[in-house]
Amino acid sequence: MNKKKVISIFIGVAAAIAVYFIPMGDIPPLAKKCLSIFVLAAIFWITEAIPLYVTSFVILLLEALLLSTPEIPYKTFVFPFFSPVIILFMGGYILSTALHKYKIDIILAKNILNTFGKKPAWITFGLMAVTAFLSMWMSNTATTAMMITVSLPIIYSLDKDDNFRKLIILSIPVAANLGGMATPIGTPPNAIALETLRNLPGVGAISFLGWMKFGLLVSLILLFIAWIVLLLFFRPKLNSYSFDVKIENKLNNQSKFVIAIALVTILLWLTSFKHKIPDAITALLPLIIFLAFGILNAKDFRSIGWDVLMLLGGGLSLGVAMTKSGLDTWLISKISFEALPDFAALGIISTITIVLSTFMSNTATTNLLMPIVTKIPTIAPLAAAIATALAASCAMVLPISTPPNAIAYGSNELKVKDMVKVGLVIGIIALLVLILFLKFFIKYFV
Amino acid sequence: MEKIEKIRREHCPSCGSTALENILQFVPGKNITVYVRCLKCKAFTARYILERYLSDKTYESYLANLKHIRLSGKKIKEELEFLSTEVKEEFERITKVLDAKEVKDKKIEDLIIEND
Repeated sequence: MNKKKVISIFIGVAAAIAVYFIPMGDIPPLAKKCLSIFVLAAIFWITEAIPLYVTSFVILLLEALLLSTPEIPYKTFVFPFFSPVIILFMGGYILSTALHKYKIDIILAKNILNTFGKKPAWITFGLMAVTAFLSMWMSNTATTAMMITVSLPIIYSLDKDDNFRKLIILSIPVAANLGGMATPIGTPPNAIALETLRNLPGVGAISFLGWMKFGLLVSLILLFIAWIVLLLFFRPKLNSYSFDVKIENKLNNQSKFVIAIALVTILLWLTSFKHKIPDAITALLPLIIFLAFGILNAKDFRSIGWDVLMLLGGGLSLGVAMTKSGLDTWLISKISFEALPDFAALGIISTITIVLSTFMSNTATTNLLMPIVTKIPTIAPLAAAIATALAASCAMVLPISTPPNAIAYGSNELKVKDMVKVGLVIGIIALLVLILFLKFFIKYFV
Repeated sequence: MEKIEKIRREHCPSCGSTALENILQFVPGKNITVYVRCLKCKAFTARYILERYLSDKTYESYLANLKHIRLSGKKIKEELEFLSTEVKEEFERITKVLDAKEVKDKKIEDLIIEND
C-alpha cells in the first residue's frame, strides 16, 4: 500500500472519529453516528484509499455496530445489498457478458458501421450511434473497449496529424457516457435513482419503460449536441474516407439463441405495465437460461461486475441508514433551499454532481448525494433523483472522470486539453438541457 | 520482506534446447492457450493457459482483456500506466537477472572444466 493511501485512510478515520465525538448541537445521537459513517465513506470513495466496493463493506460493518437497535435490526442494512435493483443490474450484466462472449456486440457494431458511408461526419455519427445503443444494454466500459478495438485499424490508417483520429477516439467515450443514461441498466447511477425513488413514500417505482421515456430522449438530445460539438472542435482533413470494417466473425446457433433471449428479456422489460412482472424478476430470465443451458459458465458468472453491485449495495445501505437514523432530515434542515427557485436548486444539485463525478466514481457520487437530494422539500424527489443520476453521466472532463474516458485517453491519441475542452462544453450544455427538461417537460413523461 | 523469486530459462525436456517456439490458440469465450514446442527436436515442452495476454501492443492487449466492468477511471488509468511502463521495466529487470545468473553459472562450469 502506498503512502498516499495510508494518509487517506488516516484522514478518513480521523474525520469520522472527530464527527463522532465533537458536540454538534441538535443532531439526534443516531444521526450523529450515521454522519460519522457518511464522512468516512465520502473520504474513502473520493480518495479511493481502499477499493470502492470494500468501502461498501466498511459501511455495512459500521452500520451494524453503531446504528442497529432493537427497533432497527442490522438486517435492515444488509437487505439493500440484494435489493430488486441489484438483481436487475445482475441480469443486465449477464446479458452483457453473453453478448460479449459470443461476439454479438462486435458483429453488430461492424455490420452497422459499414452502412454509414464515407463522410467523416457520418462515420462519427455511426460510431456514436452504435456505441450509445450498446451502452444502453451493456456496461459503458465494455462497450468503449470493444468500439475502440473496432476503430483502431481505422485510426491507424489515417495521417498522424489528421483530426479525424481525435474525433473518432473521443466520440466513443462521449457516446458511451451519454448512451448509459437511456435505460435503468445503462449505468449504476440510474439504478440508484430508481431504488431510492422506489423506497420514497408517495413516489413509488418507475418501470423500465418509464425510465426510458425520458432517459432515452435526454440521451438522444445530448448525443446529437455532442456530435455537433465534436465536429466543431475536430475538423477532419479530408471530406471523404474509404475503408471497410472487416467482419471476421459470424453468428452461430448459440449466438442466435443469446440474441433471442436478450430480445425476449428486453421486450418483457418494456411491457411490464401490461404483464406486471417486476423488472428485477424478468432479469432472472437470462440469468437462469444462460447458466442452466451452458451458454455461460460458473467462471463467467464469477466475472460479472460484483464489485459494482457491492458498491451499489453499499450506497443503498447508506441511504437506508441515513433515513432510519434521521440524518437526511437533519442535514436538509441545515441547508436553506427555500429562497431558491426550484430550477436554481436543480441547477445546484446537477452542478455539484457533475463536479464531484469529474473527480470520483459516478456511482460513488450518486451513492452519497441521492439520499440527501431526494429529501429537499422545495424540489420534487423525482426531479432531484433524475437530475443527480443523469448529471453523473455528463461528467467527462478528465481522463479519470469515467472509465470510458480513461480507456480513450490510454490510446495516446489525445491530450488532456482535448478531453477538457470537449467535456466542459458538453457538460455545460448538458446541465442546461437537464434543468430545462426537468423544469418544463418531465411532467409529460412520468 | 525480500521477494522470493526464481528466474530460469525454459528448456526442452527431451533435448535440453532453449530454442523454443510459442503456438497460441484462441478459442472464443476461453482463455488463450500457449503450447511451447522445441524448435530443435519438435517435442512438446509446456502448455500455459493465460489469464491475461499482453503483447508489445500494450493498449490493444489491454482492450482485448477488458471483460470485467471497471468502477473508476482512476483505476483504469493506473492499470494502463502500469502496463505501459512497469511491465517493460520488470521485463528488463528479470532478463538482466537471468543473463547475470547464466554468466555466473558459466564461470562455475568453466572452473569445473579447468579443474578437471
